Amino acid sequence: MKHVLIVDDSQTIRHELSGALKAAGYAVVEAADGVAGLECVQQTQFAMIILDVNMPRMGGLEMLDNLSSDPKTASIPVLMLTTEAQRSLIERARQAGAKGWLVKPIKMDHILSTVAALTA
Amino acid sequence: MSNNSARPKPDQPRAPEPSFPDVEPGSRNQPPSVGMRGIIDALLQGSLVDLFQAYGVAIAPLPREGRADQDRYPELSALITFSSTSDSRSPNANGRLSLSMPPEVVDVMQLDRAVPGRHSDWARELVNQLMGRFKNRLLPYGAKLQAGLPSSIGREALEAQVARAASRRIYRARTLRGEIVATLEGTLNEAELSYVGTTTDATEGQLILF
Repeated sequence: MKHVLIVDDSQTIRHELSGALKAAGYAVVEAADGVAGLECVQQTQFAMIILDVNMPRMGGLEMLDNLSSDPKTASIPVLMLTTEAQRSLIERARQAGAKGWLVKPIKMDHILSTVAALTA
Repeated sequence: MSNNSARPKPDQPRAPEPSFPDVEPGSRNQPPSVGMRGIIDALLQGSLVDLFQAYGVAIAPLPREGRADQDRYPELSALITFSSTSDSRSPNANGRLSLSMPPEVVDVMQLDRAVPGRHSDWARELVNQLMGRFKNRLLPYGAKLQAGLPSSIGREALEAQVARAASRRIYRARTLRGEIVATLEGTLNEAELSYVGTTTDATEGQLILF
């Protein structure tokens, strides 16, 4: 079973995503910020990470930098999930190695099709 | 700031006065350009309508004047701070955006009901998403805001905070389950806004694959 990590400070968002992904056959791990997310990737081999941008302790772009700089995690596909639509932020995420950028609100069909594509 | 904003000329008919008396006069003693007058209200109200519509709740904005209970808020509230980015071309801005609603409005949103504490968590997420929409809609007007993290706030604390605010804009809207209220406090000066074109690569709900 493929594991997906959801990193978002909103428990409701994590719960919504988690429910849909579990129903689609994925194993899901949740983290509330970038610090907790980095701890998770040390313990589990993830097929993909869904990552919020604005979070306490460590934001998503900083976590993405950490993932990209570690050879053990650099190849994990990351989808950014955020309210931000500023061009400079999207470009920064692309350059840091993210595979996609989804502006909230969540469209579950987008999420499921993207997860399926990026974990194939 | 761009020089593109069209200033009113003496031979032009005067634009109507702003209908929202809570708005602080321009901090630089400049009148807002005619085209920008009311743009903050339009962007915030549009963001509010679209946000709730995205979660299956229809809302109807209400007039902002003439209410005896103008300073009363629904039970569930969250707020988020904002400031202008370090980009020197961005207008000076610093303030708070709050969003209040009855829990019954959250109950009818298209969400899973099994999350413990979801009312306050979802209120924080909603004000975060409202701020995101507002920020993104301001980008074409040269305003780049950075937001803080959303936090919950009690009704009394919010009412006291808004009452103390030197500058505030209050937006009320009706739903079938009660009124929702958004409050914009602080400095965000329409006089400094001017249309600079699209600076976003994405819109709400859009997926970009790299």
